[in-house]
Amino acid sequence: MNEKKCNDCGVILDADMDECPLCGHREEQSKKESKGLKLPRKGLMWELFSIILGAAALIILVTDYAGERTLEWSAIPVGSIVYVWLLLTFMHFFGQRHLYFMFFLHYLSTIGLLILIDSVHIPITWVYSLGIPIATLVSLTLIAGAASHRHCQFPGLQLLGHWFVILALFPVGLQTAISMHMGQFHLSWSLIACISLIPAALLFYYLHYRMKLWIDLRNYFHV
Amino acid sequence: METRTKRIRWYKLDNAAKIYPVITNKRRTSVIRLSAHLKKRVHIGALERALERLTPRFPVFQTALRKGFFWYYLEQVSTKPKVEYDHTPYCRQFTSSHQKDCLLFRVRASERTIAVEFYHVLTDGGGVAEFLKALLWEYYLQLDHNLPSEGILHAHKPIHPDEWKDAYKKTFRQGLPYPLKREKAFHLPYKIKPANFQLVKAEMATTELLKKARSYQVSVTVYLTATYLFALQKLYWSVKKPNSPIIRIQVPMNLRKVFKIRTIRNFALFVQPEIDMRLGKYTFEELIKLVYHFMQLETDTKQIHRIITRNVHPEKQWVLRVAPRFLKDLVLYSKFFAEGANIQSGVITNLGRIDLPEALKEEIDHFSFIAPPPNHKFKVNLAMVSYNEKTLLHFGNISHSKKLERTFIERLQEDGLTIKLLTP
Repeated sequence: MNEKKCNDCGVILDADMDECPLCGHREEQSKKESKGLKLPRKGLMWELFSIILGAAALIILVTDYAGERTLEWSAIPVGSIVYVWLLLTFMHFFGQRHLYFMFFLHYLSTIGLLILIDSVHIPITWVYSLGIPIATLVSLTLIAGAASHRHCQFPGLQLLGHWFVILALFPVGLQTAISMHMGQFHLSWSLIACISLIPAALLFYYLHYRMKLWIDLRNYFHV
Repeated sequence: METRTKRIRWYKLDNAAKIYPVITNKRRTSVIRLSAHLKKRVHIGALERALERLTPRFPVFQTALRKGFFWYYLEQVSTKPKVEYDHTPYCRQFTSSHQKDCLLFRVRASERTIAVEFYHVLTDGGGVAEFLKALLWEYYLQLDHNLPSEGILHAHKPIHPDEWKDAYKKTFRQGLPYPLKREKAFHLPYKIKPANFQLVKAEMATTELLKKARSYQVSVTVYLTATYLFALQKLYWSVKKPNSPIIRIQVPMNLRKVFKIRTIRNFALFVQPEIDMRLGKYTFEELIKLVYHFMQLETDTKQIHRIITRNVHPEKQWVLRVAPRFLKDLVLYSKFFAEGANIQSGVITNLGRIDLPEALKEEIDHFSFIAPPPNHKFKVNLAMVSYNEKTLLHFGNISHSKKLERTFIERLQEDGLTIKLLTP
């Protein structure tokens, strides 16, 4: 029998095994390690993006300053770059374990960017009355979606139901924000969208609970 | 037979298994471990193929634990067992969530070790030994060894219905009086260690041990139980205020041989030899005599029937049967302490001699057996197994003190036995 030894855990491998099924050690991996080619995966992308974005921001600042010896137009592009970098950073550090906190930080960053755009050069009249409410609405939608995914016991019909409810409420919130900005609270198309989506959500919930009840009863009465 | 086995998709827990889902936690894992230490390196491909071949032979092991409204039960799942890398800590808890399709046993391997760990819900030491023997047999078959199949539950051996049935129910007799209740026992007063349980592994020559036991005209189990009692007695007198004057040891007894039932599920009871310290100190010879007679009395079939009746009868009463599971859990949890942990000072379990084909003596060096981590009452336990010329002892300890192990080994050395301490 053709065989070779795993250099990590010491068991004998079949001749056609490239990777030890016990410890996951690969022959090529050990060769790479010995040549010092193994790169730290974690954080590599974040570091790479940080360098690229940092370089871009620096080039913009230098170009702006080189013209009139003062900073004028660079605030918004640099602010946007910082905003993108913040999104990536929060995702990198909090995305795995503190998802909701990450969404909260993203929300704050978005508001920060809107206020920056409003305050620097181009005064935007709708930042406080429309921009921040819509940013809040989008953030809440994303948090609700993430919460559904995370806490859904039976991903499937129940999750679809959750998403339909979220999507049904989103247009209502959006039209509320827009109509409040226009100075008159009014709901029209959003209500139609909402009413159309809610029955679909209810149908999914009904199908889910019917199936769940059947599974539970089958399990529970194994006596 | 096979058709029937395939049709059954779920199994009731056997009588002994019912307690384990209730009492199991991260520390009290109720996981048994048996490992074979080979003379040559493990051939991982052959082991994987052997496991794949063998798994369908044990359908009751390819199950996950589920919570029902009235009882816990085992449900067949499609999860395939995989060979895992063997490392410490041993006997880790199987998943705490009963909803997942997590199997209740694991097969582990390292350089020269093939180990199996089983949740006590599935089987006891006897069942684990049967499975590991069959796995080793299949493993060596993959390595082109020509081995006799007698006494091995190999992949092609038909499944006997006794194998997966609750043997306690089969041997239950209605209307027998219950055995007498026992009072609380002495417990070692040592503090509990927060980390995982510690192991002390010792090796002895089987012939030498057997010769010594024979010199007292008793079996190895009686001899070692008396030694354990002797060690506990010594520690008892060093304690300022012992919680009880009774020292009692739990010695599991394999009922398969008694009733000639070859089940692969739990089928064991306990003999509980005890000494009363109010009567004074016991010499080692007195302890040998006492343990021997205790064993003789308590392994009497009539006495065993009494204990089985006490254990099985409650689950046959309709009032208890219709009670929801959470109420049963409360009762079982209190019973575990009242009739288990509180009334024992220690546990010593002897798996006995592992019988494998003669040809494998050149392949397998020794076996190691580790009992489930001890509970916080008696803190230390001892498990042993013999193969070929080696008897391996494993002390499991969750306390800060190793005095019991030391006293036990010193006593064996006083008797002229050579003990080698090994890395677990």
